This record gives sequence, C-alpha cells and structure tokens, in this order.
Amino acid sequence: MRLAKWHTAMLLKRGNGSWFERIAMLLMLAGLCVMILLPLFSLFSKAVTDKQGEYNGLENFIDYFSTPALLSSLQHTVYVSALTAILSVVLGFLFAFALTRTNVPGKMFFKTVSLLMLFAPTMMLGIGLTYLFGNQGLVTTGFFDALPFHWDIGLYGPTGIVMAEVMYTFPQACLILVVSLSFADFNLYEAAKTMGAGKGRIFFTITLPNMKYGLISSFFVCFTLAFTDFGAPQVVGGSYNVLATEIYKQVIGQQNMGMGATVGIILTLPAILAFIVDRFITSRQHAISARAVPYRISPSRKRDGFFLAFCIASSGMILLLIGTVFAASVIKIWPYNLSLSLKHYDFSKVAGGSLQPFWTSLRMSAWTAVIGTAVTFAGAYLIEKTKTLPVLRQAGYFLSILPLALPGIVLGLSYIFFFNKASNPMHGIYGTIWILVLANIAHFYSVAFVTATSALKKLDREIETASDSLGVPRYKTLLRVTLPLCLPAVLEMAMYFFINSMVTVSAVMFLYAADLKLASVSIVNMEDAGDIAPAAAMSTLIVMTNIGVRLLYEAVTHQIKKRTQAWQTREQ
Amino acid sequence: MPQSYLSIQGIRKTFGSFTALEPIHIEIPKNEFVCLLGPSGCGKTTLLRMIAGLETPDSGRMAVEGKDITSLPPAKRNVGFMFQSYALFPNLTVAQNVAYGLKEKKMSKPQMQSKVEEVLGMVDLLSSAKKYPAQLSGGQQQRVALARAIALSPDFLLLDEPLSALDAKVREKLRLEIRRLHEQLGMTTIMVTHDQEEALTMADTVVVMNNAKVIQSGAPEEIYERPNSRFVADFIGAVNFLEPMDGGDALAIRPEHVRLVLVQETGNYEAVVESLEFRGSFYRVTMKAQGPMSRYFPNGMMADVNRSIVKQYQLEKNRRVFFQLPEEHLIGFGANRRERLEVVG
Repeated sequence: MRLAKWHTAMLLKRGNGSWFERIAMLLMLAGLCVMILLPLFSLFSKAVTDKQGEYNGLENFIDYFSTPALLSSLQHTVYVSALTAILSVVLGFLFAFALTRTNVPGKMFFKTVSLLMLFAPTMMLGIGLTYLFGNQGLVTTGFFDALPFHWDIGLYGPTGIVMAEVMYTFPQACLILVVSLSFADFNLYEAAKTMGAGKGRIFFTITLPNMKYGLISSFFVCFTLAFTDFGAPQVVGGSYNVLATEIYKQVIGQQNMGMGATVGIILTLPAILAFIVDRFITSRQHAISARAVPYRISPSRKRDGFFLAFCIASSGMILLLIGTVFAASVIKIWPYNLSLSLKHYDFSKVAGGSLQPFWTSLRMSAWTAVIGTAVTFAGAYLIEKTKTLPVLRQAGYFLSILPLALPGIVLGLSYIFFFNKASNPMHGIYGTIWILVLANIAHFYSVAFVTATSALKKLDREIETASDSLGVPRYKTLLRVTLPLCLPAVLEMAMYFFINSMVTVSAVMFLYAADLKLASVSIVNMEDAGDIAPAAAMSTLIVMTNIGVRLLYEAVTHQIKKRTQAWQTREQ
Repeated sequence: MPQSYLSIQGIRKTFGSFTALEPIHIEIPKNEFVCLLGPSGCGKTTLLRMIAGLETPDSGRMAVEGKDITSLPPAKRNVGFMFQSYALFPNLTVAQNVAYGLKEKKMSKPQMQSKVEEVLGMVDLLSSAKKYPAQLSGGQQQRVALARAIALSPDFLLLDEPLSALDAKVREKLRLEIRRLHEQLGMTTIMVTHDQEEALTMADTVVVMNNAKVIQSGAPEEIYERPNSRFVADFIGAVNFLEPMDGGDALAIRPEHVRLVLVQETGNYEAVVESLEFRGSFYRVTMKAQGPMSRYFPNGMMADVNRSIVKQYQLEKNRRVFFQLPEEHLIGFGANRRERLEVVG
C-alpha cells in the first residue's frame, strides 16, 4: 500500500509542468483508456467466456481451431491477404517508380486517379467489379452480347476479393513507396556509374536495398488492410468465408459473442505484428545524409513508354471501375434498359429506406472531424510539448499509437461489449450517434495523432520556453502561435477523420441503432437484398461528398499557403 | 613546361539560362596534383563532373594524350571519383564497397580479395573491412571512399571537396594522406575545393575560378605572390588594397609584409590601432590611416606582427603608429605597378 502510494507520488512529482497541464494529461489518459483500453479489455474477457457468460478459459480458441468450417475462414483470409499484398506491392512499386523515377507525362493526373480509391468504401469496389465481371457483368456477357465471346472470370470468391482488395490497398502501397523512392542519394548512382556498374546491378545494389523498409512496411499495410476488410468480401466473396464476414455471422447472425470476440482477437494478430515490424523499421531507418543529392531522372524513351503504358492501364482500370458504378447508378435497368434516370437515388422503396442514412453519415463524419481533430491535437500537444509527468506521457504515446493495430471490426465489437453493459456509467451513449463518433475517433486516432505530432515536431522547440520567459501563459502561446502554425496539419486531420468516417463500415456496423443507419451500412444492406443499383447510387453519393471535401481542403490549404507565405518561405 | 596529358579545349556548359562554364581551356600534365579553387557556384564542380563523364558539355572537346574522350561514358574513362558526401553504399560493408567496381572487371576472387586488402591497407582500414559505413567515423568513411576510388587503379583521381565535412584535425591528416597516395600511385589528381589553404598546401597547380571562368592558374606560390587580379588576391589569403583615386587598378599588399614603426619617416603612413587580434603565432593589427593619405586606404590596413613587436611597441587600441609598405612586396594589377607606386608615394 505504501509502495503504491510512493509510486503514485513519483508519477505525479516528476517533471515540472503546471497543475493545469498535469490535470489535462490525466484527463487525456483517462479518455484514451475509455476509448481504447477498457473496451479492448472487455473483448479479451469476452473471448474467454461461453455463450452463458461463464469463464471457460481457452475453450473458444480450441473450439475455433477444431471446427473445420471456422478454421477455413482463417486459411482463406491468409491466402487472400497474402496474394493481395504481393500484387499490391508489385503494382504499387511500378506505379511509384513511374511517378518518381521516369519522365512519364501527366504525373499529377495519375497520382490523383490512384488516390481516388481512398474516397470510396470498399463495397463500392465490389459493386463495380460485379457490374463488370459479375453474372450480368459487362465483360462476362461480352458487352451484352455485342461481342462474339463471353468471358466469365469467376468473380465470386477469392478472385473477386483479391481484385477488390488490390484496388483498395494499391494506393496505400503506392503512397508509402513513393516516399521511400524519393529518399535517394543520387551520388550513390553516380558513384556506381563511375565504377562501371550496369542498370541491373545498380537497381539491385542501390535502388532495392534503399527502399527495403518501404517494401516491407507496404507489404504489411496491404496484408493487414486486406486481412481485416469487410466490405469487399461481403459483396464479391460469394460463399468464400473470410474472418471479417465470419465475425459478422457469429455476432449478428448467431449472437455468439464469445466466438465473435475470439475471431476478433485472431483478426488482430497480423495488425499487431505489422505494428511491431513498423516500430522496428522506424527505429532502424537511418536518416538520409544532409549532403545527399536528389535523384536526377535520365532521359529514356523506352522506359518512359513502358511506364506510361502501365500508368494508363492501371489508372484506366480504376476509372473504369468507378465510372461503372457512377453509370450504373443512373441507368434504369442494367443491362436491359440503358436509358438514364435518377430513380436509384430515391431510396424509399429499397432496403436503404430513405436518404436519411446519408444525412446521418454526414452528421456523424462532421462531428468526428471536429471533435476528433480537437481531441487528437490536444493529445499530441500534451505529449509532444509539455514536460509534465514523463511516465504517463510515455503511456499516453503508446495508447495513441495502439489503434493503428486495431481493425475496425475489433474496435466495434469491443465497443458493444464495453458500452452495452448496464453497469457502465457511459451506457447512455449506446444507441446514440455519439458512440459512432467515439468509435470513429478511436479507429482513426493514430494517423491523425502522427500528423499532429510531426507538425508539432517541426516547430521550434524553444517556442514554449520563449513564452515562459516573456511571462505569457502557455495556453496563449498555443492559441496565438502553435495552432496557427499547425493549421495545415489540423485541416489535414479533419479531412482524414471526415473521409474515413464516411467510408468506414467495419467499426460502425455493430454499433448503429435502427433509427441511425449509416450510408456505408445501407450499401451493405441494399447489396445484400439485391438492390445493387441503389447501392451504387449511395456509393456514388459518398465518393462525390469525399471528393468535394477534398477539393474544399485543397482550396482552403491553398489560401492559407498564400496568406502565410511570408513566414513559410525561408531566406536562402 | 611539361607535356599536356589531359587537355580541356573550350568546354562550355549551361543549365537552362544559367551558364555553369564559359568556354574553358586547361592543359594538365601527367601526374600533376591540380586544385580547382573558387567560391561556390563558380563552375568548379561542374568541370570536375565533366572530366568524370557525369556531365556532358554543350560544346568543346576533352582529350587524354590526344585521344578524344568527350563522349565516353564514365565507366570507360578510368577515373576514380570521390564525392563530397562520400556516396558509400550503406548496405554494403567496407570491403564490399571497395570491391564494387572490381566486380565489373573480369577478376578472380582471390585477385579481387588481395586488391581490396591492398587498398584498404593503404588507407589503414584493413581492420574495418567487415564493418558497415554507418559504423565508421567521418574520417574513416572518407578514407573508405578514397580506397574505393583508387581500387581500380585509375588514371585520374577526381575529388569533390573531399575534406569539407571533417573537423580541422582529421582534415590536416587526410591532406597528407591524399597527397601521399597521389605520389605513391602515380595518378593525375584533380581536386575541387573552396578552401584556399587546402589548395595552397596540396596542389602542384592551382586553378582559380570565378563566375564560370578560369581567372588564374599556376603554382601555389605564384598564385599567392603574384595574383593577376583583385579577385584572386582577395580570395586567397588576407590582403590590403591601396585604392587609386583616378579609378585605375588598385595595388595590394599582404598583411605579413606591412611593417610597423613608431617614428615618422618618409614613405610612412600615419595610423591609429583599431584592434588587436591574437592569432597564435602572431597578432593581426587592424589600423585606420590618418591624415590626407588615408583616402588611399578606405578599408583600413592590416599588419601581421609577432608578439615581441606588440610588447615592444606597447600596441593597444587607439595607439598611434606608422606603417610602411615595402616596394618589393606590392602587388600590382593591370598597368605597370611602379608608376602606381609613385602616385601613392
């Protein structure tokens, strides 16, 4: 008891922040615990209880691994995810290489197209594929018998899932690889050239080793995203069960919470592995020398020709897919009556019900953006800029990064277990929009946190000291200096929260109340009920909204940049 | 004049609207140690990269022993290039870095190994063969880069500011080491630097460049004692200028040649001490000229004097002194310097 007291005293004593900062830090930690740690704890305890809620040890896990039907979902998921990751990394590498190491024209265009996928819910990719390669698909029917041949690729099952997941994860791999390709020291290439090394040797001894960590990390990111995705397998998976759809079946279909939690824990394993690998890589990655010279692209028509063809093909596929969904949403009856109509945007006669889910999604995403950005920025500020309570600050950092390893489904499931308990004082938010907002903030916390942290890291470390020495309270400096300097990052965080909240389905599908249906969830429901055209229409609405938000973000950022040029540009 | 080995004839290079090199002519004899010296942006690195084949000239011609090399790729030129950043491959060990170029030659494993050992021995890094570049100090990395550059027994060793990243002590040691290797291996070495002391101590020939042009080239003593322009005099070492009133060419004198006296004599200039700077083996006295003659020295006058003089003359701030400018040490530019002297005297 005394020891515990001593520890608490030590925790509170160390560092030299104001009382206000200490209280803020404790509040933040409490918040992170409620948002992340306690729900996770509920999930773990649920995984070791049976249907009646009795403790049964590892019974569920043994059950899982001895039921062939359940075990097959794990094998399926590993297979699909590994294939996706390999394909995405290869394609992402070629695309990133085209953008950074060749003179392909229209780089901005290709880059923009590749990022379009980030605005779309994964169900939409599945829907697009259905329209192209499904039973009534454009390609399957040979353009509705216009062509002399039919081509059925056997979409439903692993083929369709991998296709959709590759399109979903490809931009993510591309983003990582563009960054790792742009950190190059051109002197290394020239050194090799003066020593007579050929192109192949240069590629294998300089280019590849230099981006080793980028390749590993993009592989893990793609694997994890595909491993935990629900939308695509739900639409094009057919009878091919994967972990994400299995959880949905166990929890929603059979109300088997214990097994749901068990599958959830299995679902988290690769993400945790990826998390550890990523930490390891970040610590290993040595900073590039300050004397490094940026890469200079040599002229080569053959190389540019090849990569231009590749970029056109891959961007064409992306545009074709999105275009198909757009088209399907305004075509009367695919493929029999191809006249245009907006009737699919009237959701009153289908499983969706009305346009209400869309408005609910907008409201939820807006709240998530506003509250999420404020909370995340405050958290990052406390951890990065205060010197108070070092031990707790470390803990806070860990908790802030942890959601990176949590699949949305697992988070959603944990939230049911935690907030649906009558004994929980926060039980009141269950069934309201606020639990959705909270789940989204938790789900997307880490990336926003990292954005805020790196923006804060770029600022002069002495700003706070200077303000102290001038006798100005810290909060004034935060509002007058730090926040304005970080405004671009703050906007980026808000956009990130908004766009992801619009497209996500995994975290919220367990948590929405009947009167609070969301756009992304209604796509799943409509698609499930066979109302594919309205599902396409809803997908189109989401993508359009996200593109709009992105454009707004670009415009505002542009304005800010123009207005703040004076302190952004540095004297040479 | 020794016979020319590398001949650079009218080499010119522009990057967009920026002229990196005006047509340049240089003849370099075999086994010379040449320093290209100049402020940043003067074109010296571009010229070096051109010699390595890493940059193609817009016009002009380069030849080695009369053989045209202008359009040869770097690999065919037999040059060893050392980069300012060293450009060591971070994922390869020291030995693998050194062997990188050897692998392109048809060479047996044992041959390669003995070559690697030989050059690593030359730079005293044999014990670090299995280490990675990141595990070495800056000076050691520099030596690995040097070993890698000489491993192929190049005709030309090209060094791009090889010492600029190192601290003073290591730098001094490596100067000697580079010079020793140059003599031992009989290469023709061309080194780019913006450090005049480095150029003077290491080179047989210094080529001073500014604004994409060669301003003067010659032995270090010649460049120092008889600079051909105000720019060279000012860029290399400390210098005082005597400004003529008629807008003609200035005269210059090095501070170590300025003599201080305490009594007025003919040919003396009156001055007041402004500051005393301790420089180790000597003091640098900065003075402000007094009287009607002061207009010739608008920038004041520096004199380097030894400690005993400072003590004897009780030099301190505001002390009145006289300085003399020995005729034989006056440096004239352009027109005849004797005439100039009379104008001043």
